[in-house]
Amino acid sequence: MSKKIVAVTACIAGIAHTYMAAQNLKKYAKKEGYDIKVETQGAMGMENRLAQDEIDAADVVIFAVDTVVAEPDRFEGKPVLKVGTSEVVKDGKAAIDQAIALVN
Amino acid sequence: MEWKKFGKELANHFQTGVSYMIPLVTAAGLLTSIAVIFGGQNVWNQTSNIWGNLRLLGQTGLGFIPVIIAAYISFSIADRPGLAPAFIVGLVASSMGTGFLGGMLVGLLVGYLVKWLKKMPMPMNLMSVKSLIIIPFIATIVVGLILIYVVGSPIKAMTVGLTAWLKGMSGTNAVLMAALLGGMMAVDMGGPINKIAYAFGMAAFTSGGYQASTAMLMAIGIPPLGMFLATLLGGKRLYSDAEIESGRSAIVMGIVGITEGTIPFAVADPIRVIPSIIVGTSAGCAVNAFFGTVQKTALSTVMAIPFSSNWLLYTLAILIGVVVEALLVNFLKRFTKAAPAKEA
Repeated sequence: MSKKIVAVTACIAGIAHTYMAAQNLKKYAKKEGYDIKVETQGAMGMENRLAQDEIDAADVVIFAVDTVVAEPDRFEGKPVLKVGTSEVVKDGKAAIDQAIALVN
Repeated sequence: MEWKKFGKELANHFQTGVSYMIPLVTAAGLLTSIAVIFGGQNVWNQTSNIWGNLRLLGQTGLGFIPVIIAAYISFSIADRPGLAPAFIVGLVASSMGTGFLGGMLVGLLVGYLVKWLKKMPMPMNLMSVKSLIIIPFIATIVVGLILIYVVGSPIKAMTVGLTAWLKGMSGTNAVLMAALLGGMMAVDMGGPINKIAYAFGMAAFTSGGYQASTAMLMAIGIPPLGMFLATLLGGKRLYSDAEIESGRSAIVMGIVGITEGTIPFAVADPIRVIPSIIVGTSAGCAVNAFFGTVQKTALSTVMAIPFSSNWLLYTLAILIGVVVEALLVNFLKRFTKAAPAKEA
C-alpha cells in the first residue's frame, strides 16, 4: 500500500511560495507513487482544507511553512516534517524523501 | 542548539505577524498616497472633500500597523487567547507612539505570557474560568502596565531616534542603505530576508523615511524585469524554451511588483542567477539613492514612476539595475557554462 502524505504550505506574503511549494510537493509525491493532499494557507486564507479524517488516515505530515500553521491542533500526535517553503520550491524530492524516512 | 531553535521559532512568529500586516499596509499606504497626490498637503486634518476622507481611511489604517503586528505575533505564539489582550495593549502602544517596535514587543510579551498561562495547571472545574477571565485579564493588565510604566518611553525614544536617523540620512550612507535594502529584497525573491527588508522599508514609510521605502519598493520589480531582458538578449543560446516562456511572465510580474517571478530562473541555475539579481538590484537602488530621488507612495518599481520626485532619473535608475542584472547573468552563463539547461 502506498504511503499517504498530508501537507500544509504557507509563506509570508501568501501569494507565490505557498503555491509553488504545494505544486512541487504534489509533483514529486506523484512521481514516487505516494498519495498526497496539500492545504495552502496563503493570502486567501485556508484553501483545500484538509478534513480531519484525511489527516487521521495519513502516515506523515509535511509542514512547508515560513509562518506558523493555522489550527495546529488538528495534527496533534502525527509525525511531522517541518521545512521552509523555499527549500521545497528548490528541491521537492528531498522533502518527500525526508518525510517518508521519518516513518519508515 | 536550543537557542538556535528558539531564534527560528521567533522568526516564524514575526513572519506570521508580517503576513497579516501586508494587506493592511498596501490598502492604507495606497489610500494615503492617492489622497496626498491628488488632494495636496491640505488633506490632513479635514474631511470636507473626498481626498480628505481617503486620507482618513488610509491614515487610520497606517495607525493600525503596531496593533495588527502585536495581535498576530501574539496569535502566532499563543493561538486564539493571544489575540484580545494584544489588540488592547497594541492599540495603547500605537497611541503612545512606540511604532512598529512597540507593536512587536507587545506581541511577544502577550504571546509568551498567554502561552505560559495556558500551561498553568488548574483544577478541572476552574478551566472555564481560566480561559474566560483569568487569561485575558491577567495578560492585558500585566503587559499593559509594563508597557505604560516601563518599556513604553524607551521604545518611543528609540522610534523617534530611528526616524530622525532615517530622515536625516544623506550621501554615502543613503547610497549604502539603498544598496543593502536592494540586495536583501533580491536575495531570496520574496522569502524571509526579503520580508525583513520589506518590514523595515514599510516602518520607515509610515514615519516619513521615504529614502528607505523608495529603495525597498524599487527593488521589488528589478529582479524579474532583469531576467526578462536577459532572456531577450540571451535567446535560445543561453535559455531553454521553458525559461524564455518564464521570461515573458517575468516582465508582467516585474511591472505589477512580484519579485517571485524570478524564482523559476533561480531554481534552474541559482549559482549564476542569484548573485546577478543581487548585484543588479543593489546597483539600481544605489544609483537612485545617489540621484536622491524619492517617491512617497507604497507602490512598487514601475508603477511608482509617475509619483517619483524626478521621474526621469528614477526610471534611469531602474533601467541601470535591470541592464546590469541582465548583462551580468548572461555574461556568467555565457562564459561559465556551455549550453542551456537540459530541457532545451
